[in-house]
Amino acid sequence: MSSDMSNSDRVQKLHAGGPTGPIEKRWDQHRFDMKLVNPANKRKFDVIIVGSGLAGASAAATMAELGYNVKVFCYQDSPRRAHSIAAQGGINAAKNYQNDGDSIHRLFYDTVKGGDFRARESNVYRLAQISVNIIDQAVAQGVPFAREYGGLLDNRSFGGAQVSRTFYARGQTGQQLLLGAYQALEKAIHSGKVKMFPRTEMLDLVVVDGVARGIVTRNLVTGKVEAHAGHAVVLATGGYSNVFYLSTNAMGCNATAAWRAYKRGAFFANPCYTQIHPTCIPVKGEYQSKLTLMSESLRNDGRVWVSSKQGDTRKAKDIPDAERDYYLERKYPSFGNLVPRDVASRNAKYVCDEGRGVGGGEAVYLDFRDAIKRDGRDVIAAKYGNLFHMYHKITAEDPYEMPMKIFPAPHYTMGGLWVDYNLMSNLPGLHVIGEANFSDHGSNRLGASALMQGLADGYFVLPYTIGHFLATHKPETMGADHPAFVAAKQEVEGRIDGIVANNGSETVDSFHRKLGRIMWNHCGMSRNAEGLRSAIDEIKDLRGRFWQNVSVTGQKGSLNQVLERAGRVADFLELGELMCKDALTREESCGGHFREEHQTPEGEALRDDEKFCHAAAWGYEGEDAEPTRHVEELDFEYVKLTQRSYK
Amino acid sequence: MNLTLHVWRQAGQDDNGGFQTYEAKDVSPDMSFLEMLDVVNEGLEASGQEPIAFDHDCREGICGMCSLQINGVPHGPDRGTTTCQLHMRSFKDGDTVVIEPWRAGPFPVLRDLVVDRTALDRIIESGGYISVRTGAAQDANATPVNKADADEAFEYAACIGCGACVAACKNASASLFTAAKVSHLARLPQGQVERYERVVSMVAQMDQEGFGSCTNQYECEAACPKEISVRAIAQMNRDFLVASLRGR
Amino acid sequence: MTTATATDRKGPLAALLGSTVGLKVLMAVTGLLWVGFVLGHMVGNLQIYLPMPADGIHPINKYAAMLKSTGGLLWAVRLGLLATFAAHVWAAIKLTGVNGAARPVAYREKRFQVASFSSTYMRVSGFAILFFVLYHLAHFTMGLTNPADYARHLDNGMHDVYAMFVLGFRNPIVAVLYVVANVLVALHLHHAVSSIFQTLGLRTARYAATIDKIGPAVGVLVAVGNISMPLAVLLGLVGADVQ
Repeated sequence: MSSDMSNSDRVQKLHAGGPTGPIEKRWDQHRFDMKLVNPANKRKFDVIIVGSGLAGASAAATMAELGYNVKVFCYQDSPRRAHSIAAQGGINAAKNYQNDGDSIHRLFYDTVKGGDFRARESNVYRLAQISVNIIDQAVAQGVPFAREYGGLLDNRSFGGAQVSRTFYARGQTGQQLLLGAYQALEKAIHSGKVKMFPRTEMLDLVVVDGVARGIVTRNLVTGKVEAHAGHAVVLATGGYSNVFYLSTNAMGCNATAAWRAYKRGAFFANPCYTQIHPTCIPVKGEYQSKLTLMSESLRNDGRVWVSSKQGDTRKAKDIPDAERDYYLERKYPSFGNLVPRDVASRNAKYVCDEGRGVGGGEAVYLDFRDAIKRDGRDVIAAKYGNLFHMYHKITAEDPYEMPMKIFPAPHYTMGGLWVDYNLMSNLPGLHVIGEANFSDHGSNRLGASALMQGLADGYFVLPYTIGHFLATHKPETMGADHPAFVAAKQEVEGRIDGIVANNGSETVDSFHRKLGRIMWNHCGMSRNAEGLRSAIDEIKDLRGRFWQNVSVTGQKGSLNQVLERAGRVADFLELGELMCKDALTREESCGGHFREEHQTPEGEALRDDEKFCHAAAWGYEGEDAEPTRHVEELDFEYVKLTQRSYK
Repeated sequence: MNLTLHVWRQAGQDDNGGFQTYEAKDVSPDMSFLEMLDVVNEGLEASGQEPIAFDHDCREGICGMCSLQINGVPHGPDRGTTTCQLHMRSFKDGDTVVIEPWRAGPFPVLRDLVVDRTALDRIIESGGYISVRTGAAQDANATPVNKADADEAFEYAACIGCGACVAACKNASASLFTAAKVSHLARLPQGQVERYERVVSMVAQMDQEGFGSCTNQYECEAACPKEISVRAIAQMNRDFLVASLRGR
Repeated sequence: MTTATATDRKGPLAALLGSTVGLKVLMAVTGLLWVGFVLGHMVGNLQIYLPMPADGIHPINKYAAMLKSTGGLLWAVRLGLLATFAAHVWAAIKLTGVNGAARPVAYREKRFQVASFSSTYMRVSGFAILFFVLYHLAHFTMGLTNPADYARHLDNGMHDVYAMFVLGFRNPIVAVLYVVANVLVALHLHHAVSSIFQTLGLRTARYAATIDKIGPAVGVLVAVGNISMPLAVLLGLVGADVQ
């Protein structure tokens, strides 16, 4: 792979631009050093936010409070439906309410280590510091976190940590946190400081003189294409797990906003860092449209096992204890079932590859028998009732009576648009927050950290840092009638016409399924150079066929769900290739990126810190040109680079 | 199994619309209801016909985007279940299934089975929140909350805003939706400051959107995929009465 | 879109009646008064079963005379009942309009899952009761339908309510009408009485199960009590002594 070499003259050394000095002082110092926009001037600035999940909604509400004029766009019919809503398990915060030895430094350390030393130290430390404010904010908004009988907040433990720092609201923590942010957003809408555009999809970024100045959108009900200008643009558009077709993401989750920004010059960092979540309900049939996650919190009480025999077709209850292999407890005695997600997923794959999955297939058991025996059915029901109910609904099997069957599934993408310490991309004015950016989780995200990061970015980081951009760049007010907007709008309309004109014989979903299979087979839980090379070729072929033979029914000027999906799949067909390129170039294993060529004798991810202790940020060079691989070196001053061990 | 579907098709807001009949063949009992529709739609698309438009997103019963009146019941025959979590094992071979959009004046049909539910957002907008500036919060454990209150608040807060309560009510009342938010916040100490202003504003907005009144039939509770209790409505009524008498 | 805010300060009554919740409260309060009246009325009438005392003046006649003797108070109660009845009907009509407008397009298929039979026919039972009350007033209060029965007086000048009552129900058509009407009243109360608690916000978790039984219990009580009287007359168990 020499794509980066061919563009060597264009390769940039990227810098986060963060403060230096003692890590615990950096964010404070930086906040002091940043320029402020005075309150009277804030009302002169318009901020465009795309996405209304935890990051987008919290940022919009907070910036509206500060006085900015905010426009928020989401493809759903209501901002409350963003996929943050589906996060189940919880949110981490270094409150140390349990007095079990937690601290900001420990959360920082666990996150950097959990991310397999591929995250930026300053960002992660800031995240850990802010985590405590998030809980305060959420509780004040009325988020009904679980409580103890004394009325104080309860915590549970999560994978990759040995302390209980996860706050939760039954198995619906994401829902409750999002509703808190959504309510704050609705309040801001009521005040007139936020204008909401539901059922509206961003289809392009408008860049004027190298600065992101607005977006082009399509109204999903009327089909109307519009340009919106602002003084800054914020993408809070989530991740791209749906490139795998089957994932735990919502059906509408897509990479279009991020991909369009990439094609306008924003760098896409570490696209190959994807998280395959260990506890999902296994695939049932070809018709399957999505995979359902079972919260990682279940691993607190559930024990993961498979038969020690290959192709064992006995029912779970007929397999005696002596013939069960509790492989996580066996291999990782100190973390046991609570190893990080990448480790748990990889090991599930190993035992299934050995033919020891349930019935010889692709599933392992997650068993509550012992927990129910120990705590009683009621205690387990109080903790996981809704998850058990959901599992029962989907599979028609009662997890109180028989163990759950689980298998890993694409869940989260640590990669995303490159941002600096201020959460601004390499394009001035374009800010990226939440899952859509790349910064805080390295190559593997720990459980209960996504909610933390989304809200940290939205409530407590971006509202300050965007002020610095506005105060230093002083972008001029510009209307959507500026030639750059008119041109971008025309381009989008042309693209839509191009898609609608396709009346081939293969459905959009059939292409998406094929892409998903290529990605899952070659760029999934484990990757190798040969597979990645063939995936790149296969994706190119598939993309060619897509534009020749896809069937897009209906008109552009009305609600047309086929057109919506076609546009998203077209972008996934490009993004998938970049993911494979990134995976191929990163000649090491780290976190969720596992290259078979690079592993320890025990089959753990083997990093190459000499060559790859950096973030790779890809720059678009044109339709037929190879993208350029820019590099941001990662320095570890506070956490020593070691081989990760959860034994 | 094979099913006959009678589906409401409507090209746009101004179109009259009508029912169309489709055959769903080789349906697996393990499919979700929406996956069954996906298969029907792929068949339509492959033959160049426009697929049936319906709202859906997370497909795990939490986003509240999916809807559908299925054989006369919102979200179909299973209690406590959204359409996306309804599985075809709840149907029999040869069944006829009538699929309609949710009907309510404040929920205009946009296309086929897709309706506009932004009226529900406007109800929240009118007061369904606690006003707290970002950063102004005290320590989370500074105010203990009785566990029973916190748990009850959670039950109400579990509302996914799908609108099944409106769809089920013979008066198309949004009382359960509105009351769930009123009661969630009324149960918590943090919600007390704005408690009475909130209920007055939210009820006024609910009326203004054109939803009907509650006649205490509790069809909403039966249709609610999160099984939110109509006790929420009693709480809303009480708070509204107190607020009115106090002149809030 | 315009939004009502808490700053739109109105008088408490206007604020209440300007909303669907307030109209429901009005229906609950007026309904509650009428439930009280219906029960009291029934208990008063049940005196028909008391034996004829030695003085030959039936207790129900004394009771009627006592009520009449209150003069102004009786009229105050009557006007109060009339006003609450009117308010109840007015609110019902108003809400019916709102509710109809809230679902302009009906479902092709609509299945009720838990709604009680009585709750789905509140409008029917309510309007039937309205007409029944008018007839009932014409019959016993104003004596328009059976003037001869109404005109009967005892020797001491007391209105012979006892005879009027018995003669009225000896007519099988009238008796059946009262039976049917009271079944409808019972049906109305079956849903209404428990509903009052919900509307006034008194149906809390702790008492919900009990409250849900009160409506049906009151309904059955009223049905049994009120239906028994015309039947008893018709079967000759009461008033055999009236010529």
